[in-house]
Amino acid sequence: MDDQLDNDLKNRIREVFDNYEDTTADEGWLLLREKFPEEEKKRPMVWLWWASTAAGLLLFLAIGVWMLNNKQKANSTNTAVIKPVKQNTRHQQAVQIDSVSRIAANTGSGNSNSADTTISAQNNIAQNQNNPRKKPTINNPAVNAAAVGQNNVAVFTPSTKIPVNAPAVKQPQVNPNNRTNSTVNQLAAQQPAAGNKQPVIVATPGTKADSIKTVVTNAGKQQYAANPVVAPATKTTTTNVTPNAANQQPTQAKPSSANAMATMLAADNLQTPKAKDKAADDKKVKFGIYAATFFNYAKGSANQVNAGAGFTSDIRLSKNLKLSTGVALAQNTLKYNSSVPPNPSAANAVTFAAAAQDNKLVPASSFPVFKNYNASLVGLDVPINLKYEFNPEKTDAYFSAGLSSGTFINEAYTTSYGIPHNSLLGGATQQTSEETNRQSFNGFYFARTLNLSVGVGTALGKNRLIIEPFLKYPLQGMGAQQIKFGAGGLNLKFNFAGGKR
Amino acid sequence: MHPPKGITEEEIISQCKKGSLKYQEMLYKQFYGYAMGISLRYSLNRDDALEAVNDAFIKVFNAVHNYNTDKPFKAWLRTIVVNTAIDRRRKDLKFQLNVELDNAAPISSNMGTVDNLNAQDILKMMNELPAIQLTIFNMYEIDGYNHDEIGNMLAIPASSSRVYLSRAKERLRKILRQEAQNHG
Repeated sequence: MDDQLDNDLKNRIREVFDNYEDTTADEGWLLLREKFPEEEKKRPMVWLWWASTAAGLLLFLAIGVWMLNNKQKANSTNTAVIKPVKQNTRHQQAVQIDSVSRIAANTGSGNSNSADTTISAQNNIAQNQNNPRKKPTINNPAVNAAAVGQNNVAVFTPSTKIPVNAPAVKQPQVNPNNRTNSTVNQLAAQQPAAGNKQPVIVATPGTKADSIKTVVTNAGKQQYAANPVVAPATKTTTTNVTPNAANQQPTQAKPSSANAMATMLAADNLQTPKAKDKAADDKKVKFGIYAATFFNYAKGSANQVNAGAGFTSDIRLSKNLKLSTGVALAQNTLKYNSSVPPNPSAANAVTFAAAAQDNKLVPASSFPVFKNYNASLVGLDVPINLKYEFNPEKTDAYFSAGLSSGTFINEAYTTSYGIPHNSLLGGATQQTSEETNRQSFNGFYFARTLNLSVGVGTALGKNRLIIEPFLKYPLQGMGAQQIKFGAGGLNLKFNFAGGKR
Repeated sequence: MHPPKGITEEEIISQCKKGSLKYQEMLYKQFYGYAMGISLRYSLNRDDALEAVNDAFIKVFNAVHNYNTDKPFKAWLRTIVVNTAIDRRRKDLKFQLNVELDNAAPISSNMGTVDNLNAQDILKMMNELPAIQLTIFNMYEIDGYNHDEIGNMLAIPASSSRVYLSRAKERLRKILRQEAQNHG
């Protein structure tokens, strides 16, 4: 009879509650929405983070490009100052050659007559028209300097009796900076006596074209006056002559400025390779790759050793300051042996994970005993750091600080717990069960980590090898479970095409 | 509540897997009564039952992508609701484990009253049971769990489950008899 009653009661309960109708579904749904609309709230935030990050990166990129352009303009301005000097020098040389050729035309007029060429912007020309074999005398040191600077201006002298290796040029005012004067003099002195047919080309860069013309004219007049037999030149060989350039030259000869110009020429020749080196040094953006070995730390978690790798780019902002950014792929693991992470999301992971199992819940109601909690996160890290180099000319030593943003490609949260089988009559067994909750690209976290690092480098061929100890301090929780964890370790960086120190 | 015309249960679940809030609401309202019918039997009151139902549906929405459509959705939902409701009463259940089993006196039944019981009557009667007995009675008699499963889920031996079930049934019979006497 009791069984009958039990069956009847059971059937009645099933009948009533299997077909239970409740009209409060709308109110129930509204209550559920108070807990459940998280996704709707998160989505705009996610887009906001993405937009903010993209805007930030674009801003930094724009700043970098802008500064790069400014630097290029500055470089071009600097070279523009130098180039006219070169052009002027060439013009002057051309004019001088032209002028000299005119002089040479006077002196190299025939086989029977030796030409004595006297050029002086300061009217200190030693004329020796009566001695055709006498070597012309050049008292203008600028000529020597110009000859050296240009290296393509030969001083041919028709002298037949010139002591070998003995400079025949008198230099009353030798510029001590002009180290090549003696060479020029030697060159001039070593010119073989080519005979009277040898054309004479004397370059005087320091003299102005008009003044030279004047001098030449006077000299020519003097020459003609002194040696009326001599006819104007008929055979004159000149090279690299641009007569038109002479019209643009100043009208007064200034030996001192010519000397300085020659010095600049010589300096320019010497500095050309250095400028290239400097250009390499002054690259606005430098790229590098790096590998990291580090340990993750978090409150309640045992430290876990992990590794990562990435590439980095340094954008120079000023002499000592660089903006360093890039992307890194890194594995992060945390292991909690005695407690769950101190945040509600992770603590609820056990129950949540249970709900996700294949169509039935793990017996969360069976008083599971927590054993451990592991989190494994493979993340993409986008650091934006400011790097201060202590002495960029000599060393790679620097200090860097900034913030990291990023996302996680894969997140796995594994909870292990034992299900005790406590008998009221005594005896206890425990069954271990694991629940894993996996997620990918759950969201983008922005500026959640503070980066601090120092670095020192050494040359490795043209490139640089840099050792960089670093610390990443968590500012907020990260990942689906919002775990607040950081990292500390060592980066081994390989910077491409680093400048020589 | 039935789904809108032309929309099948499979389609609703499929859309829920894509995260459509509209279809989630549809699913909720379609199975709300069914879930409440389960939750009410395990809960202390209606508010607790509603909270358990909502928690269960949140789990459903979060885990629906793992739902195997080859199996009946109601069975899956029932499992989730039962477990969620039991979780919410875990403290009560733990406390009841230490309560000594009382001795219910055998009583004669009044068959005539059972068929007249409505949901309110049944809930009122069941609330007279200790939490552990109520849970085991529901699990075994109504929701189809066996004693081994109940033992695993509640971390008690299967034999204890049998004892608690027996006590629950005895008490229910006693209540039914008293009700019959009161009305008879």
